[in-house]
Amino acid sequence: MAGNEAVLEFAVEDVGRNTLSSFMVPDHAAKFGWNTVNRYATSSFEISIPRGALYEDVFFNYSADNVKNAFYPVIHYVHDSITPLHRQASVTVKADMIPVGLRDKTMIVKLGGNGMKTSRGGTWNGDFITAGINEFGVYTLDVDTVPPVLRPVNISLEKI
Amino acid sequence: MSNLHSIRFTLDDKLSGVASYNGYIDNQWVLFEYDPKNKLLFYTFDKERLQGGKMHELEVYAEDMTENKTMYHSTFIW
Repeated sequence: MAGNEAVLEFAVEDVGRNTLSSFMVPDHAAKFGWNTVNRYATSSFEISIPRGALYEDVFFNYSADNVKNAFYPVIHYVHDSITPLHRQASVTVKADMIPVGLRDKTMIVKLGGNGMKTSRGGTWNGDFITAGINEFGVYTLDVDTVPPVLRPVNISLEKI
Repeated sequence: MSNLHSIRFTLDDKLSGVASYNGYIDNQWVLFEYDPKNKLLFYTFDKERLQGGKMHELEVYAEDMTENKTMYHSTFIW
């Protein structure tokens, strides 16, 4: 049985031999190879990406902003949200300003475009907290001191 | 005995997420199941284990990933 077929012809223009390494590397970036273990670190942030987690070589971008009146006054911009990760990367953040009494309730969270926060959890080692991330994006810390909300749907006092 | 076949709650945690939940009827652990997609916590009445036509005491406990706890207590006739 013959299948349907469509043919589209187009021309491709060679604009030279530009490769990833020949483009300008932005400030605060590192070149990450898809087939190597990659690590980028500052004094307050570190990311470790296992071999094979990237689909292609990338110039990794990182920046941080200070935020006033926040529980944790730093927002970490970790590369971009459109570069996929095939495996989990590890992110470590310095959080020495978090009171010791709140550290058990503190976690790394991903900030969504709609302001939604997604917890990535976190394990403390001294003044640093580490969590696994499945995607690049915007990260910060937050504290959860609010208990879960449990509401009865079909039961009221002494009657079902 | 009521015609209802289950006790249902909504259970939600805004940040760290639900870590555990336990339910007790008359101080005996009973099987509560959690549907996280619909945030629904429910217990299906077991006629083999729960005597009908009498007052029962219900306790439900829930905890999130950062060990914040909540509980619900009530009595009911089933």
